[in-house]
Amino acid sequence: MSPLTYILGWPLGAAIVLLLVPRTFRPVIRGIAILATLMAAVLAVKMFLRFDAAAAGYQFEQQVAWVRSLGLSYHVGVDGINVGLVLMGALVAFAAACVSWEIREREKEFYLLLLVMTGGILGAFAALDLFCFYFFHELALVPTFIMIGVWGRGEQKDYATFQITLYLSLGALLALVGLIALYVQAGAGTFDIPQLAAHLRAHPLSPGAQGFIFPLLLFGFGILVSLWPFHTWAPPGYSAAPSATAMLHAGVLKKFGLYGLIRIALPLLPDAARDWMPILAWLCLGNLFYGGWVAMRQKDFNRLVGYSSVAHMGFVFLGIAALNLVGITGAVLVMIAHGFLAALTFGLSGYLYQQTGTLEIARLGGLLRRLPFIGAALMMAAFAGCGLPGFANFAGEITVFFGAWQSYRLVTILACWGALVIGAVYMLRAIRGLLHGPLPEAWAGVADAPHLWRKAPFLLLLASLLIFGCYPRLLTDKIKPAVSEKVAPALAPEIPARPGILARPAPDRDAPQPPDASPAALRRAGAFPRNSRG
Amino acid sequence: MAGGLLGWERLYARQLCAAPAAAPASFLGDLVAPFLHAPVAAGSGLLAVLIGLAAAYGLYARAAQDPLPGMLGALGRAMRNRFYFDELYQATVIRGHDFLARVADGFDRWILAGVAVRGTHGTTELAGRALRLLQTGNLQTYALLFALGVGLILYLVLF
Repeated sequence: MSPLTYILGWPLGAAIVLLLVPRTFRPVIRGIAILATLMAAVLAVKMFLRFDAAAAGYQFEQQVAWVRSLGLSYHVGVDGINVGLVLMGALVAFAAACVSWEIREREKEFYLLLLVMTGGILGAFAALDLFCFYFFHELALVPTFIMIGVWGRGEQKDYATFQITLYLSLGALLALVGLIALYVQAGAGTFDIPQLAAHLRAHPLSPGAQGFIFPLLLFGFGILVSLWPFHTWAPPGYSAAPSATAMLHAGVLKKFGLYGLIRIALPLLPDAARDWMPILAWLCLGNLFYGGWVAMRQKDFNRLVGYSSVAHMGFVFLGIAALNLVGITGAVLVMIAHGFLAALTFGLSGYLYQQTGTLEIARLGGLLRRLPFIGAALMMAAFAGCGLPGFANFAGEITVFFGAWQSYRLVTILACWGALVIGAVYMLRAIRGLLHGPLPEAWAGVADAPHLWRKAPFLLLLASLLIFGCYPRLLTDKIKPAVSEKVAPALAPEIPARPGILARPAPDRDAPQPPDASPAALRRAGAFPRNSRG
Repeated sequence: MAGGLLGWERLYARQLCAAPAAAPASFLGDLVAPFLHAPVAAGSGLLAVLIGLAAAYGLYARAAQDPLPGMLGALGRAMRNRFYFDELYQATVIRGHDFLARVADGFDRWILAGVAVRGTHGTTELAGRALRLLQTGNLQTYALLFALGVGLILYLVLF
């Protein structure tokens, strides 16, 4: 049996076990949830370390036929694109279970939903069957709505639940229509993603069919990722959500849409992808600038982080829109880095809320004196969010910029501005408002994380950011061959090496210059035949 | 310099180039490589560091107080105030972004979240309330609406 089945089986199995535990056995309930997520995390780390980056195809695969007449099967496996996402999801799930000590009411139901959500998330990233892919996502999404509605906080909790439910259901519905259309149009009689990919490489869909299906997937998945202007569900939703739910959704589940674009939309619908990517490149500026500007005006720290999360998704969209090896590698790297960062930030903000009962920046201040560990971790998270070298976000963002530069120079310059200046303004202002200045008397009694067990989830997430930030090749060496192999139909032709830029050998000035690889130049050269729609 | 010693170049080179970067010869080779690759840029950078260190040592090694303000006058004051770069940055970049942030926040609050989202929500709820008035459970009302519908269809078909 594949380790992936165990990784997603532990939380789902534990959820079933929790049904049998009396609700008064609180330590047992919490212990089962932590143990199950810990086991999933340990297995995910082991799988990540055993992953062979040089091997082609999928690894740790398992396929069990389910409905043969429809081509449905339980099929899981990993390549370089999703192995890091499964690892990140499992580590974040463990951290989310650890920080849930703040939950005091209906603990059994909360942990049960948390475990179902975790199993669904890990299943969605491990699935290699379109049906399982969608099913596991829905399995994770429904508990999100319930957790915000029941254990959420703030006066606007009900409205936030209502909004996030409608928005994400609409996004999921659009994506479902796109996936069904893809299955029907492909005519391969299978939901199996590798088989579909092989079939569509040999028999590509007509430009008309691609032009119809791709926008459904782009905007369906885009809504799930808070693509501007479909982002308004995210900040109030995260602001109202319990910490663990915000950590899991903003950190992991939100990446499902991006993963769907890279795993399904780009390789299976390459012609339409090339037509739509310039539009996506400009829309991503909406995320980066608009999300950043609105974040600057937020008074509530969680809403600020919510808008910051919207802004960060702009990097991933830009990397995908670049449609080249470097850009998409960077996009996957940012997805993983942001997963750790969002989980860390929401976990820490949850700790602050638990201590103070508010996240209104104007009412807080000077907390670093009382909370040296939490404050320092929050400051490091803010620096990671600003893209400081040493954190994984820097490695991802700079890779995205290098990739995007080959395709969209103006957009890349603007995105750099949005990332560096606006991001720094709102993050550093928030840190100043929360941690520095005079300490209001009301917060003289707040207490720092008392022992290692309380600090462990934050240390785990921070260490992940630093490890992948200082040594991103742990991820990029895995991601790059997989992108090169799986997303090849959509990628722009590889630009020949420019030894003068970074590599050691001195440039040969007599050698022919590398061709202009901008989309316009590639179109002129006939690399991207513009398909007539209809 | 620290980045060079840590090997950032090699770390990212493979992501930028189709062919992998050549393996480093040695630690010393790493140190010398920039000077062989771009001698003017690397040499002038190193020269600037050395001049700065020498000038700082000459000025401050035995000084009881900062000698620069007396020597440079207005230029010294400007240097002490970091050439007023912070003030300039605050007056242009930050103020500009604050203005744009107000505009974006207003748009987000009133147009996107207000008109678009709450408007759709309100319209749907209003439509639901209006339709609820028709769902009275009164058979006579249903019969009347049915008759009106039939009449409308007959009118459309026949005339």
